[in-house]
Amino acid sequence: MLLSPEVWGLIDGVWTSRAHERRGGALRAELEGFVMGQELSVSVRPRQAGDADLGLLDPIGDGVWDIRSMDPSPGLRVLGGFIRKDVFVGLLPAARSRKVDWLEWGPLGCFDSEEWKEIIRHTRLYWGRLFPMYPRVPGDNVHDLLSDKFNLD
Amino acid sequence: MTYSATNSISTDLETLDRISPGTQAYFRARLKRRLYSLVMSKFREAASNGLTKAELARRIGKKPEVITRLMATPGNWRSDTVADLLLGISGEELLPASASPLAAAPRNMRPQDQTLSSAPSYPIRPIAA
Repeated sequence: MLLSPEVWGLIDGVWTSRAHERRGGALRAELEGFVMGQELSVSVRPRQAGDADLGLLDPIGDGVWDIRSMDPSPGLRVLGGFIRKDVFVGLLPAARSRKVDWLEWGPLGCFDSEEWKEIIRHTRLYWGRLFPMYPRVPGDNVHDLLSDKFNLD
Repeated sequence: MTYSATNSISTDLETLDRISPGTQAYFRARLKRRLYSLVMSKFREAASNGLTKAELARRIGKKPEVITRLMATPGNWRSDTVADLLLGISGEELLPASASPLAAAPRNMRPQDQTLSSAPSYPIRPIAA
């Protein structure tokens, strides 16, 4: 897993409150679980990810995914993509349902919101700036993205 | 008011003084993920021998959709959840053990696996003794 400064700062940062620090600590453990090869639940149905750990976002062919960290509140999303199999690049963190002053993005709200569209667009732009010669792994075939230990929702 | 940065995870474990909120949250989430990984690996093994979510639901008296939701994330899991799922999947119970992560041997990462460069590199251990 590769992380942008925005995501890294959230999990290892200078925190501004206890809530911020708690949330960063929990997210860190979840991202480490991904790195350590622990079980992941995956959804390839945009807008229907439910409680999945990793969800594919619209449009499917773009290869933009979000790691979905539900607990504790506020729920967080880390948007990014796969640069190769088993290697996720996390770029933009966001709060899902309420605004927090320690995150630039959020609340994302419902899936049709302008905030969602904008963060997906910015994730693509950020990727293009960092990896102009390396596209994201596209599509919804999880076997192209993860070796094992995933549960397809 | 400025919030003072608290200790790193390793400092908290070494000093065992006032454990920071971040460290507490980290280990809570880590435990949940490990339990989830354990149960799901058990289910994966049982599923290869024919166990379905519907059958698991029947065994432990839950609706299939509840099993689906439980297996999607450990977010709402309680000890009852773990006990019931393990029992239903394989007739097993969890045997807890604990250890200091600081005592764990460091684990080498491949370059392409390197991510949280300052993160502790503790091997995952089975929870059951």
